[in-house]
Amino acid sequence: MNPILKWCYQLAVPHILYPRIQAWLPWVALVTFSLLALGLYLGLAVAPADYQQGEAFRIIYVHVPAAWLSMAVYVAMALMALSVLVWRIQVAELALVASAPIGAAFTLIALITGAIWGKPMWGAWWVWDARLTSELILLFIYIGIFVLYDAIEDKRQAGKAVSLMTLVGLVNIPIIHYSVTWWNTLHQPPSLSKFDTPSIHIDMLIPLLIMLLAFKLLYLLMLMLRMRLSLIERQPQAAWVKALIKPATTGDKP
Amino acid sequence: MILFWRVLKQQLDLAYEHKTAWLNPLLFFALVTLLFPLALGASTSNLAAVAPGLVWITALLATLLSLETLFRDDVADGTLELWCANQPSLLVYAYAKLSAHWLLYCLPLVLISPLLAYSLHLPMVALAVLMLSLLLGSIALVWLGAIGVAITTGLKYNSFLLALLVLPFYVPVLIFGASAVEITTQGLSAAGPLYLLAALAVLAVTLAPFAVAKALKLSTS
Amino acid sequence: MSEFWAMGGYGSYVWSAFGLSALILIYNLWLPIYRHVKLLQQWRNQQQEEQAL
Repeated sequence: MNPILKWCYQLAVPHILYPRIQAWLPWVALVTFSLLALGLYLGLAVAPADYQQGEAFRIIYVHVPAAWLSMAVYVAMALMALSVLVWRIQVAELALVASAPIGAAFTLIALITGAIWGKPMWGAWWVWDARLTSELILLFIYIGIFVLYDAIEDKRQAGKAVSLMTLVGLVNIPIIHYSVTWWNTLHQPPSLSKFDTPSIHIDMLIPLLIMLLAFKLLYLLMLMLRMRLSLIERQPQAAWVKALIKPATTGDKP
Repeated sequence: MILFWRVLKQQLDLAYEHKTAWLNPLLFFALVTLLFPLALGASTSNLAAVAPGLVWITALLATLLSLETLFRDDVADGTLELWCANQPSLLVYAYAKLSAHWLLYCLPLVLISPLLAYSLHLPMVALAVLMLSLLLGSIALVWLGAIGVAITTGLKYNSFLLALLVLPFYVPVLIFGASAVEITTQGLSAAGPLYLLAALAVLAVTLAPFAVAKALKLSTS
Repeated sequence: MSEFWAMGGYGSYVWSAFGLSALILIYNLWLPIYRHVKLLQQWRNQQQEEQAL
């Protein structure tokens, strides 16, 4: 078999995946935090202030990556849901369930930073702007997914139910977004244009792209941490988990 | 097709035996509508301004409440498991079950809505559009909601979970439905949102039964 | 330096946005690490008790 393909297939095997996560964690963490530090330095200290919004525009460096990730995580979850329902990959189920709270966290960040940005720009903490409203609905969809998983006691069944719900959401989210945008143009709120991204200068764009990449890696890092936990939580009786416990050294630090 | 009519008729006969069951969502609709003037004040212009949204939200909640027990009896007596044995017949079962539900619980809401809207001083010109929007919208609400009901079937305390899962998906229906009525009160044509509502209804009726069937299989296995 | 923290008068907005985001992210990183360590510790204690018996 093709060695690369084989390596990928092995990711679906819990007792091979777990040590791989352990080995990769420090490197992913290192790259993530270096990029994050670089992006924050360039975004907060080096990039010039926006001529219209002044220094307040710097919130963009956390708002936009979080908003972008809130949607990207959902798409990733839909792919995992498909692998659960079509190919019955168990590990995908764990990844899906681990992703939901992370997606919710990014959505929450997008909402909070959007509100804080809105205060100086619109003069109010909350405005029923199309993007903020969509994000709020997305937050409820994420919460629904992990509450559903909690409510079903048989976790195998819960994983499949959650996968189905995720796919139903995937079809619905674009429709929801379209309808909210349509509704928003019907009841135009005041001074919306101020919030639109201005034609962005290259010195402002580079930190944004770096932050975007850093946030993607943050998702990967959080996913690995949560997967590592759920892998051993799911099969406490498995031989490889028993073997982990034996050496009473501190080999479990990240 | 014969199977479809058989299940539909069986459901309607069943409802005929429990004579008053179909009244429940209707009474809920009427009673909640009565609460609005009491809370908001009876001023004609105030009520008329918010009437499209109030009627729509109340109808939406009445539909959601009525859906909750959709599959409960069939799970309890084991008939659902028999249906799940075979994919085509499960789909037919889902279609028949949902059609019966819509006829029994949503059609009465649509029919009584002009009366209730009129009591909230919604202008007469908008009454026909209100009925049409509820007619199309309630189809989408039932078929979309059924997915959530099927997934939460068998869970003990599922009312709030059902609302949490389903209400986000109801957002487009509510937006287009309430807007169609509101636009009409402003003297404009409501054709746009009505077409969009019809599209949502068609989409829900064609796609949702597959998700419902899958969810029913999951919750009975 | 104080000019940097002031952010042209928008300091409170910018720093609260970044601070709250950091808080949420750090919590999400810390929680699975903490629970992983706790779980392994708990299992090890159980094993030691069983061996002691």
